[in-house]
Amino acid sequence: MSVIEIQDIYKTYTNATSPALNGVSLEIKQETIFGLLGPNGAGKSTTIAILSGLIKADKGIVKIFDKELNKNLEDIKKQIGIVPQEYALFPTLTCYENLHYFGNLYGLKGKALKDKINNYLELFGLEKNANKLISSFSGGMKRRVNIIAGILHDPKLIILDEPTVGVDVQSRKMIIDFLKEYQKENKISILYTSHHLEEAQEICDEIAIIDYGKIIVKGSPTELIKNHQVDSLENLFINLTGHSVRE
Amino acid sequence: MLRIFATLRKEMLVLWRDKSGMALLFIMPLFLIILMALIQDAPFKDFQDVKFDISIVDDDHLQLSESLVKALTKSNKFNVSIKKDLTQAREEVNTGKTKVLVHIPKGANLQMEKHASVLVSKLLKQLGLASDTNTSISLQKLNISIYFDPTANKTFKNAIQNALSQFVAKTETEFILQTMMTQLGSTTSDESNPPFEDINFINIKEVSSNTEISQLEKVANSVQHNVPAWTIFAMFFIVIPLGGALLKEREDGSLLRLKLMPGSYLHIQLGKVLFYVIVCVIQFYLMMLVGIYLMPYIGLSSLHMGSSPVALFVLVVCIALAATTYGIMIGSVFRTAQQSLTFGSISVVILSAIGGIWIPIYILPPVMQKIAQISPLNWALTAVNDLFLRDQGLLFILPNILKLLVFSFVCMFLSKWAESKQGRG
Repeated sequence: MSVIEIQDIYKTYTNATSPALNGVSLEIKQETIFGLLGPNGAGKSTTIAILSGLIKADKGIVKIFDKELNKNLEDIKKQIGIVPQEYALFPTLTCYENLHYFGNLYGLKGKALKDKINNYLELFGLEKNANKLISSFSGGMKRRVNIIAGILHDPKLIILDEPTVGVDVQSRKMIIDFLKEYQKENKISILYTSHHLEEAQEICDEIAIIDYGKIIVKGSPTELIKNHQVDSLENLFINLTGHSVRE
Repeated sequence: MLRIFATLRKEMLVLWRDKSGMALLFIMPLFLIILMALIQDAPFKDFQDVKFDISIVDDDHLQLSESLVKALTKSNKFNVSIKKDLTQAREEVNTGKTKVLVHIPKGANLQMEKHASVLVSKLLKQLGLASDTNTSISLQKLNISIYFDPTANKTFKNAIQNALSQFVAKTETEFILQTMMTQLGSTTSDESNPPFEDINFINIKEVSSNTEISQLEKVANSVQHNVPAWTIFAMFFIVIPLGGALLKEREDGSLLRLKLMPGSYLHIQLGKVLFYVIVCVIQFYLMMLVGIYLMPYIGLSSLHMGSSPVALFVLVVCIALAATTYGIMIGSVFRTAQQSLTFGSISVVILSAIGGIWIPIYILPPVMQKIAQISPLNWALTAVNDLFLRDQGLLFILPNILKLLVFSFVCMFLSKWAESKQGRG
């Protein structure tokens, strides 16, 4: 059974000369980690923005949990956790205050919320910094809080946009290990985008490479490496998307 | 409700930690109302309540000049100082040391006596009480010169000239009546009991049109104008912390997360509006307390808040709503903090200037008085004045309350429209 089903979606932004998405189709199966990879401006963030309900596709069908997204947006939002690329936290609130506020917005309250926040803070090694302002946090710490804020309501599907960008090796390892563990334990699905191809190779069951608004290849990393006769995902990526630097 | 109250709590924490925002909301209006009430105290006072410094150069030293000096001193409206040298006194006026100078020329008394004598002779002759006398003498007009500080404005000059004309007319009448008595050979007059002491019999007295409040002796004084006016200005200045906070949310991505959350974004906006409305209401009543209790300590009148506390509360909530939604609109329409802060602050200053916050609109020219009607700050101030000075109730201020509510809805609509336009690029 598929968790996300995207059929032939198109999106062109106002005043843009070329489409951001040019007939993208994807299927993400239940209880898998799916990596959407691509160079800058390839269409990853636009795909995630459409899946999050922030923008609408010009054409095509998007289904999440077998329900059409545009018609069931509120219902679907309750079941997905989105971790945006931006830190998306209030810098003048403490870590705990941020998480408590987002928990309240998810409808959580009282001891249950408090326990949940404390549990996650401990899991991400942030318990000692719970009462410090977010503005005093390092990039890696903010990324970890950002992830907690996206999963407080126990979603069945997590969408992460570049969750490890700009963080140190230790924080990245912690995040990746957590995601693998969390996915296994809770039997959920994860869609994530990244520039770190080694990381994607390590945790993804399936990947798709997108460029110029089109999916150019998809499949399991092992299969793709084998079929394209390359030694790593990075070489496959370079072979398919070219050497030119993107804006 | 949980989402609304969680947002309210979050906004409280954010504002509490924004020290400059707090200062802008509570310290700035405090200084503004005290400063403006003090600065505008003198211009606000009726000229009749103010004592003007006036210098007199008397080159005559006879009855006319003495009567005039005596009348001016006795009036309690002038601080009279006698100068000897006209050239020096004029120099003092020119350099601003003296605001007004009156020069009584030599021979003024004699000329006045002649004039009075001719007038009385004519009158007595017409009444058949006197024999033929020479009444055809033509006399030159007696000129008493007045010099003003070159920076004195027209209103001030008119007020002084009117007051002086009044005293001169009174002195002239007394002269004529005395001459008449002399010519009729009256002996009733004595020094201790002059017969024309109460020559101004008719007195014009101001009475309040509202009999219920007449005992309060309220007037549109500096405190009564400046305290509510600058408080309303400060309430609308919430556009700076509020618009800034919204843009900060957009820039740091927290707004994005709020939009990604399940549930209506309207709840979050409601929580935000509710919090800032509460802040504005607190701000208003704190400033009113300053008007009531602090102003008398600095030599100003105490603020009178009318007799409709419920109507006032409803009005304050509506003003707070208008100010808050205006701030949200500014924060939603503009894309950078620079744009939002510049437009927000300048627009509030312009709306306050045309809305009668700086100076009451009845002083403004007719065109500006019409333009003032478009300012929400004017609707707010007019309604506050209706409650404070006219002692009216809710029904009377309803049109302005409705205007403020419509303004709030328009602002919210524009915010929503702007937010929907700003999809993720």
